Amino acid sequence: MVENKDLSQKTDEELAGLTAENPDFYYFLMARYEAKIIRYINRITNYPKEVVEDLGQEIFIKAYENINDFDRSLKFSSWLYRIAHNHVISHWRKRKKESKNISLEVDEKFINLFEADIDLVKDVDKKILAEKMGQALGLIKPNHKDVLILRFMEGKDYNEISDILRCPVGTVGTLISRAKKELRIKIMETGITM
Amino acid sequence: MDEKTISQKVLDEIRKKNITPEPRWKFQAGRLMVLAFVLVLLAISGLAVGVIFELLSQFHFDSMVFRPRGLRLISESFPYLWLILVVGALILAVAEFLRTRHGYKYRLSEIVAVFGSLSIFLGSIFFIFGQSGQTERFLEKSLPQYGKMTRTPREFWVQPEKGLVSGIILKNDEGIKIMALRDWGGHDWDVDYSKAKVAERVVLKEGVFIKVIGEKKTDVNFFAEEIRPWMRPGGMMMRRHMDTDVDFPMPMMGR
Repeated sequence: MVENKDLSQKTDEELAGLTAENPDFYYFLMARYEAKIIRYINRITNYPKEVVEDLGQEIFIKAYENINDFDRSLKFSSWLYRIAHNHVISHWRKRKKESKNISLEVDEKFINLFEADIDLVKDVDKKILAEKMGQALGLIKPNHKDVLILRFMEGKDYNEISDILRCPVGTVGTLISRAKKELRIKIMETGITM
Repeated sequence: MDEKTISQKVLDEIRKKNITPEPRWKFQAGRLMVLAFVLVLLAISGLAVGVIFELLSQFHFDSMVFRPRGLRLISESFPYLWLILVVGALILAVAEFLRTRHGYKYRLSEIVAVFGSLSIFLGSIFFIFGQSGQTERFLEKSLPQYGKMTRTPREFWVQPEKGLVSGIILKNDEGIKIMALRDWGGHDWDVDYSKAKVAERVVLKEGVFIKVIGEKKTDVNFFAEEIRPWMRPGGMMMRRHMDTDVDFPMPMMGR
């Protein structure tokens, strides 16, 4: 087993390069992303814990099998998130289970990030707002929900989102703009006055 | 005992099932094939554009448009089949390019503009150097169905009701300015060219292939307004594209 002490300094991209030679290096790479990927799957689906963990395992195995296809011009996290996104979408389509009306958990950080952008009424109770925003997120179009989650929950920048969703950077901006408009409408429909 | 983490479970599965990464060459080969396919599609699109240029130049669309019912003639004769091929090949090329490693980074409009321009550029090269003419003539000779799917230059230039005839000069009487012309279908015409504008490169003598624009007077008499060479204009490189191997009904001797 490879010793951990030497690996904390290595970048994700370096570890990805070493993984092709020895899967033990992959363990340390996975450890860095395990929690993030599971949280991401939870955010874009409403699957039970066991299914989420199974999906997480499948994603990491798929990434391992395709590690030699990792494009060094990308961040490893973008590449891994892309695999995760595509795998979950593919799984969702096979099960023909549309995640309509899933209410997402929205934290204060998300609200604070969003407040500046969509001009929310300031004196609305944050807890109520979080609940309404979570409901509204579950109602908007899937591609709009994807970009909002990546941008405001996962903290990805436009270039990373472009690499994850495989669309031009300009399109990311347009999608986010439209997503915010749709979210605003859905929030208003929940009864929050703006 | 602590429950295993997902990372540990994945590592265990990799070892247990002896899962190995796909080899790098497989991905590289796949990418090369997609790129090659894109280039082939662009070449096909370019060749089709070249053939369109070739046919439009053969049809002399620039002067046809001013003739009576000229626009209708153009719309009837336009090589739509080749246009469909251009569009189809370009659509596929764009779709395949979007699948490449970095294709997604470009806007669709940018890709379409670049590929369209490339297609026109390639088409111009093929047209100037004669590959498009060779392609068109090859298809006309090799595929019986080709003539049914698109109007060939020979078909276009034998429409006497619309004032277009072409073929081989059998005999020319320079005194009265009437020549005998046999068209591609074997029909003989007496062509009065006394008032015709004759293109500089045309030599009106027996055995020369020409195109005639004018008016049909009777089933055998044609009044010429303009006479052009059968071969399209061009420099040295055009000489090798003469219809020396044209399949043509032999002229009757003594006419």
